[in-house]
Amino acid sequence: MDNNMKTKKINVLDIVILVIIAVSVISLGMRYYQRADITGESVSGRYEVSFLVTDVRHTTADAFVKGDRVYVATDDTCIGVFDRLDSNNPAAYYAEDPDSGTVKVYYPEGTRVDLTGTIISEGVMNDDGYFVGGSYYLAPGKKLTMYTGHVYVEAVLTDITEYTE
Amino acid sequence: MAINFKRTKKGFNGMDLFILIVIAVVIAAAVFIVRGMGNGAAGASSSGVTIEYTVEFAKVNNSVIGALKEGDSVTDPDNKQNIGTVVAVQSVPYSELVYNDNDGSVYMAENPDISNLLITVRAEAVHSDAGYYVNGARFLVGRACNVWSRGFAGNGYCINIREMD
Repeated sequence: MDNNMKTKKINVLDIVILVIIAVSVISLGMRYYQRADITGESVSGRYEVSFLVTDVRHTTADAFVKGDRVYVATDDTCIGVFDRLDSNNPAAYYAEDPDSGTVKVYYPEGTRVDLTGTIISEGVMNDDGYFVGGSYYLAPGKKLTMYTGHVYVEAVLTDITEYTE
Repeated sequence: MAINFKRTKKGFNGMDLFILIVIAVVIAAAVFIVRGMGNGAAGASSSGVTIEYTVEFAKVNNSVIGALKEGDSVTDPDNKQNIGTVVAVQSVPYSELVYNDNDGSVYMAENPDISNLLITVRAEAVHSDAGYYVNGARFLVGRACNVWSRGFAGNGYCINIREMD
């Protein structure tokens, strides 16, 4: 009887394991909510990340596939899922005119295009900015090389707004 | 000196099972968070597929246009592996945008001495979030692509990838 009671007690090793588990869980939580905790003003959830791709071949637009995961090429970080192309227009070209200086003209149809699109991303928005997964900083103006399973482009982020269905 | 050979109670008990379950749940949650928040590395899921990819080599001197023919094998110069068989070759005059300062119009002016060479190559590929891989060579629309063959070497860009299955 006395022996049976002893076997059901929590021993030191069990306590060590429980402490390690607790520390792990707390660390994971802190990693995700770290930025939010700093300012206290944060909203986590889904966000629409808009981007601009300039001066690419017109066929590039066909390689954007809804649902493809979008990665940053420099560190292979996934920043969301490609949702849609918002515009597909002839690429702008800045020519020198002897009379009026620099003039903005456009490539003919079927040559070079400028594309804008939207990525659906999950992260935290606070006073410091937007953080994918709570830790990967993105902001309008940031230039990055990104890829999906079908396309590889240089892009600049133009807007980050809360996702609305 | 007496040695005690008496067996102590170290059997697998309910607490050990509980701890193992907790550890499994924590690991599963960690994997879910890391991947779900988008920090998972690309290329987790992959599938084999036959593809035809088109590579555009810009500003190729007309004298080497005929050097690449249908049926030629092409090699990736980096890893020296076969990356498919040429199934189509097309050349189009190289053209660039010209601004007419007389009337403000733009047009594509062709250069008769150089061309854009487009080759289409059929290959067995593995598709993942990171793109299409042919014997280790990575293909994505918009990504640089280097090719060697028996009579031609060039640096171009992949402009189209089509799955044949």
